[in-house]
Amino acid sequence: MSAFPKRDFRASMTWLHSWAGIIPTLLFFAVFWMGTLSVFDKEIDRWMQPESRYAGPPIAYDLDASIETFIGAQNGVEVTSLFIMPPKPREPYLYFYGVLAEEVNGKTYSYGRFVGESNEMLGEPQSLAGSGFIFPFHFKLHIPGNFGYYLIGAVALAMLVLTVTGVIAHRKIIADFFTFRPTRKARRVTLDLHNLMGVVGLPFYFLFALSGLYIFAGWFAALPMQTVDGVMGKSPVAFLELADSQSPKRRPRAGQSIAMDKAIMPFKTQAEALWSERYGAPVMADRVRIEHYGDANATVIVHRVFPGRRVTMAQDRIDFDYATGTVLYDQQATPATATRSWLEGLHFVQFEHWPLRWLFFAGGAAGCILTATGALFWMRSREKKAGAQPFNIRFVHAMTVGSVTGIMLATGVFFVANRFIALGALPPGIAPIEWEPITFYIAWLLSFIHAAARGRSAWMDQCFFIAILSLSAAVLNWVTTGDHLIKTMTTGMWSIAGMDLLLLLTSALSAWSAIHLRGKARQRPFAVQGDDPALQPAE
Amino acid sequence: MAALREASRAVDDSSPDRVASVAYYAVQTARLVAILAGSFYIVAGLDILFARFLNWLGVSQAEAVTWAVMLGFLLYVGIVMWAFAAPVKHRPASVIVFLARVMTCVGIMLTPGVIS
Repeated sequence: MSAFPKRDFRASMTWLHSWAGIIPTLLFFAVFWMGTLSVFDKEIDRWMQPESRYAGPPIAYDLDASIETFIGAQNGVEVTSLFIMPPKPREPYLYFYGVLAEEVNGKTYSYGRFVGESNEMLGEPQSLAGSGFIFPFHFKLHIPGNFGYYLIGAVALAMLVLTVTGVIAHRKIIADFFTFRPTRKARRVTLDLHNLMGVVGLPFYFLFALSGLYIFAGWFAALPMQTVDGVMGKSPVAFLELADSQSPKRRPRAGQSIAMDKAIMPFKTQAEALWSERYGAPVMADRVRIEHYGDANATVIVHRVFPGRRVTMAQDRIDFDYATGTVLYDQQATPATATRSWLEGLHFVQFEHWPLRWLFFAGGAAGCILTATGALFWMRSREKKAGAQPFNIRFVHAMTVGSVTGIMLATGVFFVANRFIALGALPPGIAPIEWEPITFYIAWLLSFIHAAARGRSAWMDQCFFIAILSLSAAVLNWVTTGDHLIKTMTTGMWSIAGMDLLLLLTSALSAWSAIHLRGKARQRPFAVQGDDPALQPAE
Repeated sequence: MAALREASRAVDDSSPDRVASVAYYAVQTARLVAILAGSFYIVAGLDILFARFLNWLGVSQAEAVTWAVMLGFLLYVGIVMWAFAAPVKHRPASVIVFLARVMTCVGIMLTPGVIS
């Protein structure tokens, strides 16, 4: 008999599906989980940065007065460039980011936010929140350097392969859609749920893996393209340069100072008028940049990136010479960039369309269930035959628990830590903004250790912890800010109300899961070291 | 040795009920990672050829590279599936891995600064 038995195409794809799925499981769930939360990153920002909450009507802001206030707040330190974002429904403040000519308190940049109708400037946020921690975790895991991008790129490639091979491996795609038997044995239910979630979200998973790859194509594709081109004897393709070669070269500084006494708002208005005429509908700019602030070559760049209710990102950009007001560059999308912009817009989920946003949230949650049930099925299939848990099964079990309930638990700790930090309950020596990530990583690490020590009981324990943490976060929000659920719902602060409601829902579901798992644990076929003796099956 | 022999014999066994050794998992993981990475290098080569072809047809360089990369990711799935589905005796995986290894080593030597 041959050492390599003959296999058909489906068997090969099943092999590929099993292994491409099980190896990056930990990362799959982390990416899905953080990606799902990132759908509401701005709402999480409002919840974690209470000073930026605003429930009033759209703000009538004064751009030039705010620029003056921001520049004045730098205590004479020269600002070399400014990045401004006007208020939007999900970000109800005028946002400033300035690059400084010299280092101040170890930083060469400065933030400013103008919330509400007053022209009072808020300082730097005290929490990384959704946009600063959860969203970047989704695509680079906060690993220093470029390694995080490459790692997540590999995960996205594996996801692409999994979606296609999953269809071939499971074959009965229509039947699977209608097959869910919750009363059958746990292993059967797990597979049914895995198949169901796979079929329901198939286009979503494929498009999100693909669009994620396109967003960071410069990172993922640059290295192999450069090395391959090197082998072909050509000079290496500077991929990133090529991809950006449509944008104009940045103007150098003239080295001659000018007074910045001309208003910036008319540049924005002019760009919006030009775009509105071009597209035959009112268009709002959502970014204003001032390059070489205070220099004779100062350039005002007006962008439109996320156009309201449209999924496709816009490529609109107009560069003005500040001194003369002449248009230096007027960018319009080419066929390739327009295609890429649709895929990128789909992935960034920054459009103002709430039903679609919730649909994407549901798609992400389905992806979490898909990943978790896939890993559970793989594990249970082996546990059944094992009789006693060998090292590899125990290892995969600990990794699965830590990567599924562990990261949810760590996120709960992240939210609770944010509210405790707001109370000023901080040990000295570490900046408040660094505390939340530290608590997150410690909690996540402990969840793996707990899973290894507690065996199968870890699922139940960690669900219970998640329930407690989610409930505590919602209650702490009320205690520390006074924004309880009834107040936020009656005053129209839906971002805060939504976050609290999701925390309470998570708490209820986790508590139900913990109770359900306790009941199931009594029927399990074997015990592992560290299990609760009270949960052992009756002989 | 026995574990490695068992691992190599079981290399094609995807039975979900299998309880195999750590060596088995190591071999499967190495095989998967090698083919996933190797196929990416094959796609990169095809991307460059396609981008150069489009550029030769008159498409701007930036447009050509963007189209080539977009197509390349779709092509990638096909190449990985082909690598796994081809007859065992003509298994192309080892060739892909070998080529990828050569390309990586030689490519990095020829293009200083790529990694940084």
